[in-house]
Amino acid sequence: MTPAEILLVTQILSLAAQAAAAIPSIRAAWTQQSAATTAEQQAQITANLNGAMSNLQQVVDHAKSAFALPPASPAAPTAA
Amino acid sequence: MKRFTYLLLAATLLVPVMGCKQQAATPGAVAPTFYSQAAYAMNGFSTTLLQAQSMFTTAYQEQLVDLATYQKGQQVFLQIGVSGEAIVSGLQAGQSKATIEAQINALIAQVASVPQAFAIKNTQSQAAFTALANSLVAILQAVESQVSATGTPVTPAVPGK
Repeated sequence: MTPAEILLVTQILSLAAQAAAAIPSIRAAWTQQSAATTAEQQAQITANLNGAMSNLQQVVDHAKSAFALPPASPAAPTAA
Repeated sequence: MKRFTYLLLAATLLVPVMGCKQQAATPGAVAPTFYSQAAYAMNGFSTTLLQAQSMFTTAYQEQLVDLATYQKGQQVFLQIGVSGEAIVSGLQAGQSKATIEAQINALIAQVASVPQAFAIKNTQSQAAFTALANSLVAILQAVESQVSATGTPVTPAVPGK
């Protein structure tokens, strides 16, 4: 790896630590604060769950496609 | 290309923080149910998972992992994706807290196994992916904690899709 790449990886790990450290405060905020009216909350739930399902379906589809990869050294088809 | 991958990973690691930002209280507001919080967090989790899978594919394309490892890793992604879909379906159907909690705990165990499944040749990249998996686990643990701490609402949780 180049020094620049090493620096970037270091920064990524630092960000990972920051993200992990932020989660307890996020959880506390969830508990302590109100969010929206009931109707708004229902709309947010629907949007979030639909978004989550869409993302997860993409993950599943992409994972399945990985098993349809050709062998490492596929033989080129030849015309009859 | 590798630099792009690292930048993408950095952006991914910010998703848990940015995606879970709490909205300001509004007049007539009601306390969020665990369904609303879990839905919000599952959306952030799935976004992060999708990006992690994309980075893993990039790692394969850059020959940081061989085909067998790539397919093993994708098998893990497949399992996580299917488990995540079950949780989202459960939230959509207003399943019981206990059921959702059990599903989330199972998913945490699956995500925690991700670094072992990847086995990337480049040590730094492996470490970065491990950190990413840890971040995903932390999000799920936050969801699980909310499910545990919050009572089941009296009102129906979730409208249809």
